[in-house]
Amino acid sequence: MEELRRTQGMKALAFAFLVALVALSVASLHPQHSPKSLPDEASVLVRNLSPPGAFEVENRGPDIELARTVTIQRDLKGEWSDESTDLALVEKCEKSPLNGRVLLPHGATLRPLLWNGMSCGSQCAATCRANLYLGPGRFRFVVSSYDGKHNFTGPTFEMPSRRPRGSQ
Amino acid sequence: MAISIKPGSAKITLTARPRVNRPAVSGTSMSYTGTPIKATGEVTILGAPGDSAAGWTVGFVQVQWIETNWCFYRGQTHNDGSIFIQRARPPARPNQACCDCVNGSPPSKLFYSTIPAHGEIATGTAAAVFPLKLTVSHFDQPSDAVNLVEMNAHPASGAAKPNFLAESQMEFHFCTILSVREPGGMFHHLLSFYWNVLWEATFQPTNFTNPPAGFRINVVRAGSTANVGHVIQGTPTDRRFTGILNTRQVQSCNQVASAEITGPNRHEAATWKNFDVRKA
Repeated sequence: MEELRRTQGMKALAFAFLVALVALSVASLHPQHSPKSLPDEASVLVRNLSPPGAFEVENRGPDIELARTVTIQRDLKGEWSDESTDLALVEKCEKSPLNGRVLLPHGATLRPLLWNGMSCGSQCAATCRANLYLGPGRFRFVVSSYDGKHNFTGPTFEMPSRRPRGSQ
Repeated sequence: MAISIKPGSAKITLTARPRVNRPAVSGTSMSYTGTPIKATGEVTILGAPGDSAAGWTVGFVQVQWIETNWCFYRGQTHNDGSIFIQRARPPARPNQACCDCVNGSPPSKLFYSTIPAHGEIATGTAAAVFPLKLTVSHFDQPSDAVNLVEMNAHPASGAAKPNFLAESQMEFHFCTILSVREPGGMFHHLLSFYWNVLWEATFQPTNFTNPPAGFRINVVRAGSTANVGHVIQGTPTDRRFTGILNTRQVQSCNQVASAEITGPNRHEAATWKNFDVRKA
């Protein structure tokens, strides 16, 4: 009788363990596709391309809504300082609100128009009166989640003293 | 010996003269761009050994004192109507003059950019050796853009009809000033020069799809140019913009211009109309 109880108890324990294992496996398989999962700072990659100012954003994590605006930071002797530009995650010149959001699904790569180095009209012709070329210098792009909770920082790149060819 | 500005030491050198490009289609907009204006400036500060030059700042100040900015749209046929968009008159633009400073630099500080990395200002230090020559640089590249197509919803037209960019004129006139600000905040405006960029053109869509496949762009030569005046000694006395130099500004020209494109004075007509471009 005692033997039987022990056997049944072990069976129940084994079943509970199996259920927990399955639940864990399901959880580890699916979070990358669930928009509700939290991204970590490495789940969105900001990659510099050529010429300087060109970049792409790859999402290796769950679907994510990114802020349309992209921050440009300048390296000032080791300290990073934000520059004011109108750089955005846009792939073509169109009128769209800067405070908007961009959905980047899992596995997708976005290649925005390159930064031309200007403080205003950073990618496309815009309404600019004061407008400064911010190079030369060392810069990096910072892409943020739309909720502002996550920043995805790109590697440093060198902006030349003149506007890159091919920029608008 | 009190710290002072060495008389006659202020100097402006124009290193690049601006040119205007032909208007060009950019996405769903017509863009108005040009090449940059560049200048350098220098001023020498005098003092005695042990004096502190901290807070003495040399820099460029820029005001915009005229803006012309209108465009005219026309439907495919007479009964598709026309639209006149006036951006440069009240209420779209309440005042002509404004303090021109880059985004991120407060207009209340007057300088074109107070961000040291931009090189538009140079500030003395407590350990400065006199005479102290402070050098700065200046850069600007104004531009603008307008929609290729505007929808005309005049009640007499029935349904909204696409009107296509037919004519536009843009004129931005600036005065750039080399100035010194004392630590207490008092400004000395030493040298200045006027300059402007102008675009004027007529346009014809190559077809009447929305947006059209392309535009024939006819530049009006007399209205499409960039000019730079000679350097003028002393504090500017031009009453069209001296108010900007003497009062604390809350909006930059970029902010004023953004507001005028967001809420322009818009006039729609049910037919092709000759609007008076001088009016609001």
